Amino acid sequence: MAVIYSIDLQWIFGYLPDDIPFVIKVNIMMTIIFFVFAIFFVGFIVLLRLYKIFRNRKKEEQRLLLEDLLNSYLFDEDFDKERELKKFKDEHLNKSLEIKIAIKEILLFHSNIKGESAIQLRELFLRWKLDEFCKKQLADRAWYSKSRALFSLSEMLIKVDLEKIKPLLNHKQDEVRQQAQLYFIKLAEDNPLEFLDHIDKPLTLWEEIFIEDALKNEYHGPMPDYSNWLHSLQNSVVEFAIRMIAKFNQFENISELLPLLDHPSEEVRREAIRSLSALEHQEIIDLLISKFETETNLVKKTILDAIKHLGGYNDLLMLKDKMQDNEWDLKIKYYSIAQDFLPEKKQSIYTQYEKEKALLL
Amino acid sequence: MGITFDDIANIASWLFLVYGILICLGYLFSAIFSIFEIRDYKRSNNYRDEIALLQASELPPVSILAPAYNEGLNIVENVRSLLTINYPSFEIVIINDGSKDDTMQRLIDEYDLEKQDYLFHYFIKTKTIRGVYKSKNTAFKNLLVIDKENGGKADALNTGINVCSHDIICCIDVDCILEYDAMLKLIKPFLNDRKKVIASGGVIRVANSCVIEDGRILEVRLPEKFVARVQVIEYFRAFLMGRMAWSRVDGLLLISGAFGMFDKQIAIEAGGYNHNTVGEDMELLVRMRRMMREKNIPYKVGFVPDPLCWTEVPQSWEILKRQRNRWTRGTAETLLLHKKMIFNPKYGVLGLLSTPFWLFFEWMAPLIEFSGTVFFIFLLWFGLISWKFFFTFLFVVYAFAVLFSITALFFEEYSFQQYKKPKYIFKLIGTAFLEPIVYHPFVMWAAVRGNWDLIIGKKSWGEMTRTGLSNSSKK
Repeated sequence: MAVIYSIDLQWIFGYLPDDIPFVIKVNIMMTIIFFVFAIFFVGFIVLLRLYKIFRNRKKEEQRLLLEDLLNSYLFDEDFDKERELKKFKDEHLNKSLEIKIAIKEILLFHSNIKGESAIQLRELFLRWKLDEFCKKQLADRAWYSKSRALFSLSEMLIKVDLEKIKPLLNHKQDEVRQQAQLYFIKLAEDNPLEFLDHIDKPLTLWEEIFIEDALKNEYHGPMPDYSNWLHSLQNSVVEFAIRMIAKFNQFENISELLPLLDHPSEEVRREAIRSLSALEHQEIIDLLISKFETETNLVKKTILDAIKHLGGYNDLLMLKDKMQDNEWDLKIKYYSIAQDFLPEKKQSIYTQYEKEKALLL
Repeated sequence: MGITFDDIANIASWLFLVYGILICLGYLFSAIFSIFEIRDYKRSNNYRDEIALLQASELPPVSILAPAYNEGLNIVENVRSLLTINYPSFEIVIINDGSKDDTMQRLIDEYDLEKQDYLFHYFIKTKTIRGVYKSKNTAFKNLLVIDKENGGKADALNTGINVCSHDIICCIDVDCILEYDAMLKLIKPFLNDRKKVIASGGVIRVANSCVIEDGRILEVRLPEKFVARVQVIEYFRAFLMGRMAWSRVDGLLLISGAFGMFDKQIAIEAGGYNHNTVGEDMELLVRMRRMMREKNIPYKVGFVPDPLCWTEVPQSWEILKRQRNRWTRGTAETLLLHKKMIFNPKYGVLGLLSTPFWLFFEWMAPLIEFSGTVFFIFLLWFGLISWKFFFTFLFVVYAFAVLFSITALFFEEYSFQQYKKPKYIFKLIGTAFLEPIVYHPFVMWAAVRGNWDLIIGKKSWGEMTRTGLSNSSKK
């Protein structure tokens, strides 16, 4: 404590009585500081709560106004479009929050309707110049503005110079990259996966799920030939292309898939087996049986799945002696498939497995 | 020159002061990291709904493992709630850990179960499995029930790992209430990272007094009892400030046993849950991370800031004491088992930041706090400090504790604002002012007792009687 006493911090505590020892002054100061901060945060919590209540109320009011307007705009034949839309724009689309709510509401309507009404909504989006607002957001430095803008523009099918979007395919933020990918697909007329040639980071399975969903539901052009990406430098792209070949039944690409059973990547080999199996290409059974012994554990599991799907009990039997003594996960899969092939012998197969277990353990 | 009593008192005073400052700095940094993490998460999730993805066939199937011990009262309802989980492909694996009540019989009767010749292997050594059951009713085809000899929660979970079919496992408490999109959110880190993700966890919330219907939270309410309400603030501090910050620096050491997802193969390779510790959830994650690090395999642990799972917290002081006693022993046992990692640069953030933090500010904190209090009283007793100093210092500590809780409340208000009614937030603020006086000394004492029990070799979990959410507020 002696050291503390020796420090002259009188100037800080000048307003406290001189006869109070220094350490007590420190304690008093710290208590006050902590309490001030605590009270500051309490005030902040109350303000935040009030702000959120006010903001939510404002959002709700704006949303209800928009809902009424959009319903009339889309479904009321007597609705005076020119006058009412202009009036709404002048009165209710001045602040950033109001514009954001309008965009969100139009997108919500747009996701629930199709055909002529969807086109009308797009026209409204343009008439209110919401596209310009989105384009400004796209140029914003904040990543979340960019990704939100990409989302809105792609949902409303508003074309932007692709050269502006391309750099965003490799943006450091996942959300921006993903929205840029989806923008390419939704706006594409004939080559929805062109962007795959421009990405420099592997696709994640999450992104692939979104891409597949967009290809199925948002893209209306001719389906691309997925074999174009079977030799991509990105293994994730190759895996995705293999999967899509099966998903979109591109039987003509089977011959392109076969060499991939020897690909250096374990995941690519697994994906190739899965797709060939999904395409019912029975000719691979013998090939898979011959490869089984030298494959990794994961690929072996995939081969067993393929045999279950394409082969029969006799094919399965060929693998029995090709499993190592300690590959219990494979053995379980093997016996379980055997039970599926021969349901009437379920009990004896189980006994057989138990015997093998007793013998090896 | 000999060391005088005054010198010792001086040195001790300085040590306590330095410790206090370090702990304040630790909390400050964790608050800063957390606020950035919450902000980024909110920004990335506020404009699109990912629920449509629940239709995607590419989502990997998940095995949901739920151990049950003497849960006869609520097991049927809890399993029914689990069966309604919103996810395209999953199996529910209930592990009856040698219950002494009628848990198993109730399951058999209600779900029309029959014993199967089920193929499995003891990848991890566990107690004997008496039987594996599946339902004759196809409506419950996702349900698998394992009946085994009693071996504790860790052993039950290991049994589930041995028997389940899928590569991703989700370990949960059987009476947990999950958010409708909890599984989708929890699996996202596994699918959306370029590194191998070995585990992911989410924010756990307090379900006491909430209105629940068909296994879903209908209305979030603040617990009526003080002891449960104060745990709401504790959970805010732990999840919104603690784990959020650790997640940002990839230093998470704990995924709550109430709801966590793991890569099955990695869990098996690491040896599964350790049944020699009462902190099996923390120990497994630390061991998995240690193994990955030692094998030099790049990996990640995901953390989802959203509230995904609601659980019942102790409503009685006695049960709370047992729980905190156990948590302390669990933390200490884990750190002792992995002492090699502490201050070891080979383990990166885990070695240089996470494990030392847990050692000094989680395990040792109650001990240092307790000894500091005793030391302070001792100094006062012998007239080495004045009453004025004693009380002003207590005020500093009190003010800091209040500030810490209020900051956590602010984080909740900023992020998820689950407690919508304004009266709840005022109640919580009031609770934050009472917590350091009424609650904190109690949990500190429970933790000190936990350390004592650790020294004398106590291994038991202690009975964890739950009021049962179904009995209180389910509609």
